[in-house]
This record gives sequence, structure tokens and C-alpha cells, in this order.
Amino acid sequence: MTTIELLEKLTSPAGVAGEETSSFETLKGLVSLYGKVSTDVSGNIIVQREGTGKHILLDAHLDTIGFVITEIMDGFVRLSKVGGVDMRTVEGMEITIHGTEDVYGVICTVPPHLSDGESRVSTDGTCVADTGLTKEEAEKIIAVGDKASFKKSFEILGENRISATYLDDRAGIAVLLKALEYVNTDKKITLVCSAQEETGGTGATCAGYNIDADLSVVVDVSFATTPDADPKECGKLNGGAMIGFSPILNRQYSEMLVNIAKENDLPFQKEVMGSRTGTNADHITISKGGIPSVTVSIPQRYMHTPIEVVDVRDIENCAELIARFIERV
Amino acid sequence: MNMDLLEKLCMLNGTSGDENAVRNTIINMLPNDCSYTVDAIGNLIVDKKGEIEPKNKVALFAHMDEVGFIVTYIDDDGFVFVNSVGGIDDSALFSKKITINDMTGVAGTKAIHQCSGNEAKKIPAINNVSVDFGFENKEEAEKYISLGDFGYFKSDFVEYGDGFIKSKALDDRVGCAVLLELLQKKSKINYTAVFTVQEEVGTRGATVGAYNVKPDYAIVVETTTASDIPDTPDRKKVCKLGDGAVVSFMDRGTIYNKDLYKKAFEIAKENDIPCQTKTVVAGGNDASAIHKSVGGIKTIAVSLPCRYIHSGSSVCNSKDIYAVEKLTELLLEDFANG
Repeated sequence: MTTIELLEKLTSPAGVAGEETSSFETLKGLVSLYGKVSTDVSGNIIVQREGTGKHILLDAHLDTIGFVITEIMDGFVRLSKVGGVDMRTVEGMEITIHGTEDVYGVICTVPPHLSDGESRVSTDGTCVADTGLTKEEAEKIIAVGDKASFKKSFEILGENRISATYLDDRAGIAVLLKALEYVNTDKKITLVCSAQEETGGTGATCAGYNIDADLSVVVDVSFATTPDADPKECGKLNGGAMIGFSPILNRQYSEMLVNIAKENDLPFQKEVMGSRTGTNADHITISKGGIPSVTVSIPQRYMHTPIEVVDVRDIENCAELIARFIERV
Repeated sequence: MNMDLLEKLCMLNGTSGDENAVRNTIINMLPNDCSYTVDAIGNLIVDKKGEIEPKNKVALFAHMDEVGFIVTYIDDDGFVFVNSVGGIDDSALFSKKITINDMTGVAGTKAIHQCSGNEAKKIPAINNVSVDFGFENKEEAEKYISLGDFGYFKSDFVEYGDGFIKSKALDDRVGCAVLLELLQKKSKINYTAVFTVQEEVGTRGATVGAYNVKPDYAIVVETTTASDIPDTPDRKKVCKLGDGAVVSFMDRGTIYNKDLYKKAFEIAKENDIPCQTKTVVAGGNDASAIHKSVGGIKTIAVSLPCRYIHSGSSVCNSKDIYAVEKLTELLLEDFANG
């Protein structure tokens, strides 16, 4: 399977935080190729490879940002965001409401003649979507509390880039599945496709407790440059793995990643953070008696929008770096 | 309305100044009893041969152009910058997909996490958003895209809910589809259909088209903004989807002929065609150019209510299309024989 094919499979199901089980059914077949699959109370998908020596926890999160239905009206539903949806993007956005069946919707745009030129970006995280269904018809299929996701989209841009919904963090899962493919080791490895990262790291907190790991590698997406962004705050697309350096991460392992990248001629960039990382590593590092962790981030443009972009070469380079790290650590 | 026809017309790309594909498609679908000319600005003027020459010359107008984008700059990293062609709200480009020369690009900025307090509260302006086609650098981008190339919403035609349609370019391919379906029917009377260019940049095609055709009566078949969404006060909704054809007494470009306005509602009532007026003086269309052309032309607009107009996610209801089509047909006959 090519990396693009893998990404297309991994981004095919939605899985708004709290609703990851729907993705599980679609992804179960795929991930079971890489180990023994199980789930836990929080909704994590756990893929285990038996082995000896150090037990390595690999984490990438399964859930995506999205919406939850809070009110059903004639022709419309009211939504509240789940996770950090960029509310500047929602007007005109197409969504899929996950009721007893999938329902199409398009989020309302406030016409210019009604917005008086003032900022109209929702500050309370709510919006309204057009369903074209009467309240009575809608209530047969949709209930308050049902989730809605960005309507699935997958585009190949040029030779090596993908713009797709849910790349945050299915791209991370792609990296770790590839790493399992590349790695040559007897070590015990547990891959956690974790639930509810976007709403505070519930899945990773539970996994850190349930899995008796000696160390962890957390793979998520991080910011890549755009013309308007501060280059000091960004990695470069096709610049290779962004190796995390932070007070909460294990410095020895961060340095080891850098050395491995250099030895293997793998492109890399340092991602330096002054405090917590904003990833599941924040939770896993303080699980139980403490689990030393590193982060490897994939440079990504347009985070938390329906047009997120990654470069497949970065995915492959991150995977190889992690495979070599597992072998050496 | 044949939905396949409407979908076909909406999926064509034709912004102001780039109407070729739409014009050629319409020409190819004209029946044998029609003859046509293309005038100097690009309007397609179609003469329909009926059984008789009526008392009055009536012309139907619909515009072929849609709002879109034009490439203004390519930076060293291969990012493409665009301006709008016609009035496009900032929300319609940011975080959406567009096509240029049949390639797909995505329009974005830095992530919300990297925005300062004020930046996070405002949708980025069209000219500050970069479009990413996956180019590695300027040199690669320039192999495929040149300054001045046109861009289009990448948005498919979706039928959903109870008769609803989401698409790009409903404004005014709906009008084109209505005219085309009328032309494809046998007619008792001779009349003219004008498919205009450059409506979205100031009704320039209609200015020329009305002069060239010189009708006694003009019927503009259009779309008009509907704000019938929750949290909007009723008086600001303008018009409502599902409540039928929209005939307005006044908009930002035209004070409509009062006799024609009354006539439209009479005919609608007699024939059980749902018909509504606009409750806000807003918008404008080709009527603004036509009604004051060649010494004055009696002009009316029959419009389809459309939500989120001028975006890739424009929404209308198929029941209203039927009302627009039927009312246009009856008004045509009435004005011709008037």
C-alpha cells in the first residue's frame, strides 16, 4: 500500500471526539494487519505486538474535531463545536451529521447585509446548519447529542501533498503504522490510536495508566509555514520530522532522535517548546510513576480546518526515524 | 426543471469575462427553431421562432457569468493569491477549495492557534489568503498558472433534504436553465432570449444587450438573496425558500414598473403559482441596466430565492424553480399579447 493509499483509508471515516467507535469498525481490518487489536473504556484502539525488553508505547490520536447537535429546528440544526474548530472556517462548510443515518448539512452564512460589517465569527463556538428537513423529519434520524463532522474530502495536490479532512491526526496513525512496517525489533510495542485528544486527552490518560510502558513516542501534527505565519513558530513542509524539545520531554531521547536522523540522512527539524507540548505527551509523561516521552510531529498547514495539508515525504521520513529509534532505544 | 440540465450548467466554469464554456454549451442545446447571434461584448442573443409575431417584442434575460476569482500574484514559495471577480464574501474563500485551470487548490492562512486575539475574530480577507496547489516554488507554479487566470469554487451539486440543492453558480445558471427549457418548448409567439455576460461586474453585458435587442418588455430571470435562517428577524429575511418566485418592487438598481409588478402577482394568483416579494431593498441585477436602456424598457425580474448566494455553497429549493419557470412563461405570453 502506498503512503497516499494508506492516508486515504485512514481518513475515510470521520470520528469526532467521543464518537471514535464509528471509525473503529472501518479501521479495524486495516490496523489488525499490524498486531492484536483491542479497545478500552475510553474508546482507544490498541494494537499490540508481543516482544521482550523495553515496552514502547506509540501514540497518535484517532479522534477529530467536529460538532455536536444541540437543537433541532425546522430546516436547521444548531451545533456546538467539539474540540478547537476554527470558527472562522464554518460559514458555507459542508458537514455530515451522524444520526441513525448520515445527513448532509451546510453551515449557514450570515449575509453581509445582516452583519453590519462587524466581526461575525462565532465567539461561543456555536453555529447553525441547513439540513433541508422539517423538524419532524429530522427528529426521526437526528437526536440532540449526535455528532457532526466536516464532510469528508481528499485531494492530492501536486506530486506529494495531500489536502484532506481528519489529517489531524490520522497522518500520525499513518506514520506509526508505517513505522511498524519498517521496524526490525523484538521489543514489545503497543500502538494506541487514542480517543478524545481534541477534548483534553482522555484516551491518552487512560492508555498511559492501562499500558505498562517504559517510554512513549507521541506523533501529532504541528504548524508548517504559510506566507503569513511567523517562521519562528513553524516547521517546513517536506522539511522532515519535527523532533520535540521541551522541558516535559525526555531530553536524552530527543537527542537520540536527532542523532539517528543525522546518521541515516533523514531530514529533520527541531520543534522547541517552552512548556507543555499540546499533544498527548503532556498526559502520558505523568501517567502512573511517569513515562519518559518524546514527540515527533508532522509539519502540517491549515490545522483544524477541512483543508489540512501534509507532505507524504514527511510521513515516510517520520516513520523511518521512529523505526530506527525503536530499534536503538 | 430538469435537474441534470441545471447540474450541467452549474458545473461549467464561467466567471465574468470567461463565459465561453457556458455560451457554447447553451448554443449546442438550442432547438432548430432558434437562431442566434453573439454580439460584440459576448452576449448570446437567441431568436425563438413561434407561430406568430406578437404585438409586443419581449426579451428574456439571464446572465451566464458567475462570481469567481482572478490570479493576482504568485509568491516565491509557489503560493497563489487571488482577487474576487464580482462580490464575494471573505467567508466563501477562506478554508475552501478552488480550481484554476482544472487544478485543485486550498485557500488558507496560518492556523487559528497562531492568531492573535483580533486575528482570531475575523475571517481573513480574500487578498490575504494564499491558495496552495502543492507547488514547490514559484517556477513550478508558473508552469501551470499565470497572472490573470480565472479561479472557481470547487463545489459539487448536491440534492438534499426536501427538494434542496447546494451548488456553486446557481446565480444565474438557474436563469440560464429556465430560458433554455422555455426555448426547447414549442412557442405560439416569437420572442428573444438574451444570455448576458458580465452581470457580476456591473451589468455590462445587459447594457449592451438591451441596446442591441430593443425589446418593448424585458423579463430578467435571476436569483436573489434569501436570509431565512434561524436567529434572523423576520423583517430581515428578504425572502424565503419554498415560498415561490420572488418579484420585487425595488432593489438597489431598479424601481420596477408598478403595472408589471401588479400583473405578476395577479397572474401568479390566477394560476396558483407561489409568489412572494422582497421585504428588504437589497441586491440588484441586469434589470438596472435594461430598464433605462434605449429610451426606457418596461422591465420586471422573476427571481429564485437563494441562500448563501455568491458562495460555493449556494442553496435553493427545486419547488421555487418550478414557480419561477411557470411565472416567466405566463408573463412572456401576457406581455407579448398585451
